Amino acid sequence: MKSYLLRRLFGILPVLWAVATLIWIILFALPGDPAAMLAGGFRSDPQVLERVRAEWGLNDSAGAQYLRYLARVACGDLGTSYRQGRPVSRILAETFPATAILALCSMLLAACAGVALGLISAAWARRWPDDLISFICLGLISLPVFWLGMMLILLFASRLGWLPVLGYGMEGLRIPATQIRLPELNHLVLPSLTLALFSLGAICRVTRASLLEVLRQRYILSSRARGMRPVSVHLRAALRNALIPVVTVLGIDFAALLGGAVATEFVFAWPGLGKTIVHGIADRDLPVVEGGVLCLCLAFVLVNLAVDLCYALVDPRVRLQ
Amino acid sequence: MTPTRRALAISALALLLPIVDGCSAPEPAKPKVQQILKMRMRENPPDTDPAQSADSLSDRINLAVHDGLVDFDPESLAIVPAVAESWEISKDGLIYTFRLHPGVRFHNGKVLTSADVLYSFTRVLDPKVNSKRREILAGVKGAEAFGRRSATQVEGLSAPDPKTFVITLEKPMPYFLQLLATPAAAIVPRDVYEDPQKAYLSQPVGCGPFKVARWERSNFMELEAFGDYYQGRPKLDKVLVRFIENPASAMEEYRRGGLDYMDEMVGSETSIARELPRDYRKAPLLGTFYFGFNLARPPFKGNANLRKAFNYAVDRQALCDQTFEGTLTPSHGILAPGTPGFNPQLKGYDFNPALAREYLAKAGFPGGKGLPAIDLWVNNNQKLLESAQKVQANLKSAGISVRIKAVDFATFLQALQGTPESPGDALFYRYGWNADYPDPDAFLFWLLHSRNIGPAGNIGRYSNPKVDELLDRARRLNAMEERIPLYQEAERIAVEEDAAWLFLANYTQRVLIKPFVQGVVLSPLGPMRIPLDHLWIEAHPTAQASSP
Repeated sequence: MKSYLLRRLFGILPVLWAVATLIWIILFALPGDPAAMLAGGFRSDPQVLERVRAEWGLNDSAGAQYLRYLARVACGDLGTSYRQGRPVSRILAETFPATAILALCSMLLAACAGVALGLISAAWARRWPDDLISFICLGLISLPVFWLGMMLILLFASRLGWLPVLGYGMEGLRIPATQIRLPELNHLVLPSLTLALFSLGAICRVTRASLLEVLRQRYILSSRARGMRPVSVHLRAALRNALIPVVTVLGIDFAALLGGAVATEFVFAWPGLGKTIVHGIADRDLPVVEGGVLCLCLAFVLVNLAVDLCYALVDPRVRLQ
Repeated sequence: MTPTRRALAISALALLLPIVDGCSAPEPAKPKVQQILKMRMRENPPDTDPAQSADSLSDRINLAVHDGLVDFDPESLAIVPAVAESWEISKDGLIYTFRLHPGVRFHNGKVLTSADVLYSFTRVLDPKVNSKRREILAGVKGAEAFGRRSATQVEGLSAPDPKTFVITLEKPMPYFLQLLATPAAAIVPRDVYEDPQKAYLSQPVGCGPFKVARWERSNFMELEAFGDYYQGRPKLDKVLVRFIENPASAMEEYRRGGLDYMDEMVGSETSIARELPRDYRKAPLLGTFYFGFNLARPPFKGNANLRKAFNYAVDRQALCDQTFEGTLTPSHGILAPGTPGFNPQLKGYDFNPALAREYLAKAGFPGGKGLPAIDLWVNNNQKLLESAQKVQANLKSAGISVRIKAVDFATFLQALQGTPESPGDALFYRYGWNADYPDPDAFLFWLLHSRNIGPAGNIGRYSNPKVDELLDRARRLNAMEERIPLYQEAERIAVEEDAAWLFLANYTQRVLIKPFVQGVVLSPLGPMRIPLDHLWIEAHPTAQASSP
């Protein structure tokens, strides 16, 4: 187990290098001059433009810029934002927790609801509750997050007045010894619900399919023959064995939410990383984009590793080697 | 339902509980605090260093936190005292002597002296700071030598005593006081702004009416009334600036009472005005919207007839009424109404397809024959795309074929600007310009003078020695009544003789502001100049309060 972990952790390095190189090439090839964006947009003094280029090394050859970037990243320095003039690491430290909290809450909601609905669906397979749940799930998968978010705002905030329209809140708890401030709970509900409803469909469908497959296994038949109560058959004998594909989907969804919650962050004015990266691309703030993508890549790899470890927990037949 | 299935259903419902629980226990509404204005900004201010303030978001915050020597009266745009309580201008228009207001303090408690003014202005010209707005002080004597690092200080800036500051110009600049009223000419405390770690970017310190109490990026900024403000403590206790990018979400928040003010909205003008008639306000803005030609490249190079054909082919009124729903007004020239020197007699171009075809033939392309399809560059924005489509359709009827090229802003900018030496790729592009100061120079010098070809403003690379000469002469004169005819003649040549651009429209500004917010004045320089220190909340709204 220990050697497996070490090997996997060591394997992260080439992935990070490949991603760092790929993102650098893509950003380098992008049209648009970061210096023009920095020097005032529509109206820039040519002298200021030149000095900006010199200051950020934008006049250097591609090779020199790449090597300087790689050396910097290798030393753990993600650079300084062109636009904000602050270290990228600080910007990530401010924005990543907000995204991670949102993704985590969404996944918890989606996992609970998705597995529950999957169970009901499998228990009443091919009968009206199953049809109804399938219909709802397909609907949720197909709805654009942006639209869903706006609809939830209109219903729960504007019409019913139960929840705030948007924002992160001003008074959430601060985690001691960190700069991280948690969102106010009522502000967290709608964005989490939006993302959860989006992920829920797939989780429910996978749970149902996996459960139905497991329920056809002979050991389930033998459990029933031994007089085990049907609810125990579903929850104790079948569910655990059916969870492997569900855990895979959960892992992929969670990792995707970390980087893919941009639309939700946009609708709910959530101060997350996705929005920061999108702004970075629009403003050609290359260090922010590079740092943000690397951060997401690292999170993605670590979540996948955690998923692999979960397999062993869920199914003792899985041995990590 | 069998007992087994019932048990299963109960287990499943138990797993669903977190969702139900999350929805059913909202926090109670917080009590409304007195004199707090909640306003929306699209995103964080990119530059909280006033020396770099070059966009409306940064200007909005910098104008609240900092003050300069002088200011604009928000309504009349006349120059009024700020940190300087009085000033004298020498007869030759070269020496400006400012007497500073007594008892001006920065937010950190330090007393403002003329040494701070000297530091702040030197800083704008310092090549190490590389200010985007160095042109506001470029006319000061010795600024150029200081910029080249051949002098250690700016010859034309001096602080003979703590309450007196003197500026000597290289040559007279009749609009110099207006330049000093722009946000980049703010007075900053030396001890704070010399910090190499640039802590002032997160915690700006100025002598303006509000200080930054708290700033959570992409979430909110809390501006707190500065008790020692030399013009008297603002009536508002706080201004809560909320960063909400999506205008549709912001509109919902405004309707619900979480915002008192916003200046970008979704929905047609008619529907907003009908829904919120007491909140909706519209006012002219000193800005011009046009589609530019690249005059350094064929087919536009040296072909005024072709450019006139474009101008006659477009129906400006329909564009403003239908595409922009009345938020733009058709223009016949460059200067916006309200700018000194605005010429209502300027003929410009009316919509006349027959004349467009005639000029197209004169240009050597009868019926559009021989004229290749031209790319029209637009940055991605729904309204701009719609306006490009409208212009495309108009031009098509006149026999001119145009392809729309929609790209993101950075790509767009690169294609437009090129360098002073070589033009960008874009032949035909949308463009807009807002005046920083209420003077014809703020439009015509930057957009038409050949000295500014390239990124400095004259993107179309328009060059006419006669226009250059008129603009240079106007800059040397002091009396506005002598300057105006020169500017009007320069504008007439660029519009009627040269058809330098496809002239389209002038901007207006639209804002939503709750009726209980009093003291609102919409400045022709833009909504970022709403004087926050003059506002107050008359009565408390009954709407539910909401935090970011």
